[in-house]
Amino acid sequence: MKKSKGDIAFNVVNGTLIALLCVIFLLPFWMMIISSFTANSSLQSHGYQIIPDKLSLEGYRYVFGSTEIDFFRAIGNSLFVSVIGTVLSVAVSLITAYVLSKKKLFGHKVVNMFYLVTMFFCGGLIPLFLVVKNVGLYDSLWALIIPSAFNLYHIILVRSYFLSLPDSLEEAAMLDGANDLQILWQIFLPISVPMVLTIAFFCFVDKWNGWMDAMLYLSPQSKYKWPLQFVLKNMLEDMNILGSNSVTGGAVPVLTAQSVGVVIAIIPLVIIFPIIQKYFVNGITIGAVKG
Amino acid sequence: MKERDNITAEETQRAAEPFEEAAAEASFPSVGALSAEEAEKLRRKNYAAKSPFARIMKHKLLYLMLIPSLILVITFCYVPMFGVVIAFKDYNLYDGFAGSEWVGLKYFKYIFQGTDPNIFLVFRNTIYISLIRVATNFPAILIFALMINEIGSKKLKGITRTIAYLPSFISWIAVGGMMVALLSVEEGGLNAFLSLVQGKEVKINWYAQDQYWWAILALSSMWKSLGWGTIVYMSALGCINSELYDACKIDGGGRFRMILSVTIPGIMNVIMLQLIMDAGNLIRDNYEQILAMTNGSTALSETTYVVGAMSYSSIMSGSGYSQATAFSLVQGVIGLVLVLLTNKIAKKTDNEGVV
Repeated sequence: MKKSKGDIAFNVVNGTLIALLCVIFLLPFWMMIISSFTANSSLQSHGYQIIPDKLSLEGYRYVFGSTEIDFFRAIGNSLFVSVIGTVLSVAVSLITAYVLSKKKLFGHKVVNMFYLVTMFFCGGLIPLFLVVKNVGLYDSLWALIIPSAFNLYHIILVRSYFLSLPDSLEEAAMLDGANDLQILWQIFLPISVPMVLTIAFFCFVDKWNGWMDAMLYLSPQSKYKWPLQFVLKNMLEDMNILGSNSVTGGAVPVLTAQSVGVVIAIIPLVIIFPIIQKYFVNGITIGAVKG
Repeated sequence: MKERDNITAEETQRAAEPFEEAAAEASFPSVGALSAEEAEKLRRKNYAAKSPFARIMKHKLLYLMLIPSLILVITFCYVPMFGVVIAFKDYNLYDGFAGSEWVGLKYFKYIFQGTDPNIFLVFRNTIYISLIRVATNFPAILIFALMINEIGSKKLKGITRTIAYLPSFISWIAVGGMMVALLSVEEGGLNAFLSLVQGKEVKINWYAQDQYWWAILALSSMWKSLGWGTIVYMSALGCINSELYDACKIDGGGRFRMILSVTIPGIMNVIMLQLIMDAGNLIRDNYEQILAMTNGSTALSETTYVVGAMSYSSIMSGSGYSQATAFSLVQGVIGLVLVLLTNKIAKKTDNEGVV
């Protein structure tokens, strides 16, 4: 079909606006990566630039060589929390969603309601904090994993996907004498790979980016337990104080080091995201349509 | 009565009542013709379909599978729900949960009497920050979703989506770090840009000017959620019947006409759903964002101190638990009312045929 003039004008305007937005989305990433490789003196005299004029690794050398901040340890803590937390949360979501999708179950509605209520009412931060403290999780990395392992949103997502699968799948396996765990593991799991990857990615992002729980549940003294984002937050705060003080600020490449911190914090997600994206967009769509 | 002897003692004991009912209902005219064993099997099978206990036993593995999430939900959702009673007590760490004194509605009176000007400030900030965020982000996300939908090439659409989703997967701490590059006085990009536009040197200390922060918070929120927010519309947009577009074209409708007459009505229920969710967000504060971006600057607390901040600072300082809990309880209840209210309005308008 031939395109009218109005059509072409619309496409041009729309395309330009979208291109502009894409630049706005990407520019901060670019600026951070570039400034992390720029000499601090250059940043101080010329400000943040789109094209660097003096490349240097001093930021990376400072951050990884620092005696005050153990970044490797922080990355290790974050990886521990993210990986274990993701595996645990996905496992809980899968088996719970599997059971909740069984309408033949006695008390199906009541059980579903029991979980759904938590969407509307929540005790709030302080009662939760007191519970975490009383069950003995305070100042343990498990406090960043266990209380947030139950995720109703993920359960609903998986449940609607399971509900959309034909009953015949399960019936055939039942006739072969498989029990529910076997059915979940051998039949439902293999065909739900996009869905599982989707919620696993969400969990990983949540855990990797999380720092509020660390602030609440880890003691201010046990710095060696802190996850990366919380270490980074404290570093940014310290840097602001250092930066405003010209005497101490001179010895520390404040601006570059800040950018290095941000780059370290975002790099795993920027790498994983495009790889996993094609799966999870499908996962979301399926969940949304059938939900 | 003899029939019951065949059933194991344990089962009889645990499900005595429903079992008797089932036994009374069940009638087997040909019991005598079957061997005792067969009859028992048949009976068990029949009871399994009727009594709740037997139905539970039949799927006991399924119930066992619920145990992990039940433990989590009860410990970390239901127990804290009852924990809100500390809003009615003078909770302190020494006396503990049971030992603290009951004070009734003391803290709620304190909130609603409004004698303390800080209370007004906290609620004003909480509501304004969320209101400005929702009022700008909700339409922006909708428009952006429509814009992406209008991209003809599938490949370009995919690339745009990938780029647009990227900001939503980085932490607020990282965004806070990026904001330093934008907002710092000497080196920041924004001052440099304003200097260029206005032709004279601009040196605004953004981290000391609290009047800009409602806008800064809303805009940074938009940067982060604009792309990912469109995901709720994407599947609905894909489901719109393409014949409707053809019909609109034949009637002489241009692209804007198509968007208004076909696309928007086609995704109206998703828009409504999103609106309901956002209504609940109006009273919820994104304290994580605020704390990450202001770096805890006290210069900005006049406009950025919110209800959520109270809970955190009371935990950090180990005092004021009851008051902070009372505040977040009020916040939670208002949020729930807003969701239910919007839900009702949305249903009403639905019935009147807006969709």
